[in-house]
Amino acid sequence: MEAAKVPVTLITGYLGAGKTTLLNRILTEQHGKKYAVIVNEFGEEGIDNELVVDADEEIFEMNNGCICCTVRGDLIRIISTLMKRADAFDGMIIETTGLADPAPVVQTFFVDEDVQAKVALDAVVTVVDACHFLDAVDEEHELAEQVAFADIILLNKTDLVDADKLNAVKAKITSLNRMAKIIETVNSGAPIDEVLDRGAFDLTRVLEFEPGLLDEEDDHEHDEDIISVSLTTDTPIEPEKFSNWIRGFIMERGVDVLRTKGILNLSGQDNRYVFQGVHMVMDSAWGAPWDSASRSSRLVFIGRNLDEAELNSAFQACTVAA
Amino acid sequence: MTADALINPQAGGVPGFNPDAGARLVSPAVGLSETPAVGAHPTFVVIEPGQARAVIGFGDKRLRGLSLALDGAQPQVIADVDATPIAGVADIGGKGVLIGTDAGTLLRLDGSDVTTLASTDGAWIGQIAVHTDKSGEAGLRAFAAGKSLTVLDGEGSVVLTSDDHPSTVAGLSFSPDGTKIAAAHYDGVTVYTLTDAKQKPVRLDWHGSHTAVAWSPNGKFIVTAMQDKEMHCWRWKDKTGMRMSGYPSKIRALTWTADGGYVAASGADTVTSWDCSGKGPSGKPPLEFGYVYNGIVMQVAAHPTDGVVAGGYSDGTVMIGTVEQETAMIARPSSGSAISGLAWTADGTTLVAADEQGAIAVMRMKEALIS
Repeated sequence: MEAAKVPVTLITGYLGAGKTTLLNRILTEQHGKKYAVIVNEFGEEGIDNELVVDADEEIFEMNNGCICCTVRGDLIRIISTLMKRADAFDGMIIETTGLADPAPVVQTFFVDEDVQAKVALDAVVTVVDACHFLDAVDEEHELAEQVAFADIILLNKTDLVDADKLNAVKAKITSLNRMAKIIETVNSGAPIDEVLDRGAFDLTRVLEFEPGLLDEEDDHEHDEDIISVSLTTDTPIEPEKFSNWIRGFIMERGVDVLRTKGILNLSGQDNRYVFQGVHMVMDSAWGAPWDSASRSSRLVFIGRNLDEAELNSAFQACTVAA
Repeated sequence: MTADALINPQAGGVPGFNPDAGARLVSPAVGLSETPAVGAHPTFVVIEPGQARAVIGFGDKRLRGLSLALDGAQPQVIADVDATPIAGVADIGGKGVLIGTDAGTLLRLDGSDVTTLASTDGAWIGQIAVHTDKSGEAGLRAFAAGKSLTVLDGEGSVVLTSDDHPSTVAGLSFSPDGTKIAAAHYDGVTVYTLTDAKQKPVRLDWHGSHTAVAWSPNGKFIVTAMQDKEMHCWRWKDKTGMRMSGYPSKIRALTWTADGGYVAASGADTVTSWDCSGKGPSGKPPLEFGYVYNGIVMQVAAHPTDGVVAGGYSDGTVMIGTVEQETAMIARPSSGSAISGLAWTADGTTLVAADEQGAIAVMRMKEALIS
């Protein structure tokens, strides 16, 4: 009698980027569907929905040996309670405050049993203000984290910048996060089907991902910057070597690693091995079978203090050829 | 206090239990009657005095009542409320039911009449507690909404308000004499003295999210359930803390046996009971009964007089077990839907359970539970 899990979309973004506009577009265009909306602060713009729950941002640490595992206690309580209501929700949308760190929200969906049993995080959508992003990103580290955690980035207010600035913003976003899909918008006007039902955390739906390419050499100035590192190899991976390396790396460096995603061609296996992680919380599964020709393993890390050359040599050392 | 002690599949023999065959035979000592699923999620089960009726709150904004006469009666809608009833307890003296809602109202059900006793600015009233004094007529009502705690006397006058908590209050428990109240939150418990406004609250600290609290009936211990798959126990006299860990799941429910000798908890594949005689549970492994294959205990309810606890499981099974003998019997077989509410009648002859699909099981004890 297990019902399908209710998808949850997390909308983050800096103050004034256009989060509430996006939220209201979803609610208007998905007319007839029933959403529960959870917000942390009521902004000036009203939210056009029957059920809006005002949540206090209550972050706490889990005592589970994972030093960076923080979760949102208010979300656990609210989601567990909402799921007892008779209204069958088509989805839930969480809008965070402008300065929220997305990690505790995302980790809540992987840590709490009651939440996991009833709902599933569908995607992290980050709304970026094309006008102010470059000025603000160096000042507010939350902004970089919101981009780093995103599955979908709405690059908004593109009508207010020229082509050079838009390209510079895109280059910066790509350096922070090579996995996310960038949608350029005016007034948060993204096609809703590119925002909802993405299954970004659903391992069974991960078939392939193309890490975005950087136009120019990554010019990050110091190690504290968030970067994304993309690794690839066509040589099959030796499971034991890889497992030992990734466990050790995440144990040691999980605080710095915001998100991890991988599709691996494991030696002797016909199916893809897919996995993802948020800090130290990791999740893996067998994916779809490989097609005949190319069996390329891909691995992306997004985080701080990442040394691409070092990571690449460690990854290449996990192949059967090494 | 180890994890090993908790996951021993041999603990507590279950008569007639064969995990391979899936056979779940209800003990002949129990008369079971069950209503079809309502299709809404129960949020609490309270049994009214005189024990004629169980009152169940549902996620479809309705209160339903069920006669306990075992005469084939079906649950009847007592009242439609404007909000989801999310917490419910027996009111002062067991007369009526006190209900907290997600519209921020504190309601009282008396017969079929619902009155509003208090309301917030909309913050959910997720926690309520009641204390009845020795007269059986007067007492205190407490409710929490967000970080704010309010205690009212029987006439509705405010005895205490406080929002000095680091997070939303996730559990409330009066001391057995009603002179104090404990509020659970992140990083511990705050204990207020209600009889002396000048006395500063006592903060009991332990890092993590405390999601339920229960004061022992003898007043000696305060126990919390934690998000971190463990419990914490403080000895009130000297505030010494003790940690009870090793659970495979988070702990949703706590219950004290009537004599205060044991605190039983959900969270494992057996009902676990910690010996709180003497100085407390430190150094003693828990007693266990009622292993269920592939099931986790979701709800626990101590018998009102004997050393017996009922456990409601994630697969819908209900077990009744003796704490010290570590024996169990099946009172309701698996329905596939988790138990979300469990309550005994005051005389301990009848147990009522509700599962997430809204089926209600009434279990009548045919013989004494402890010979």
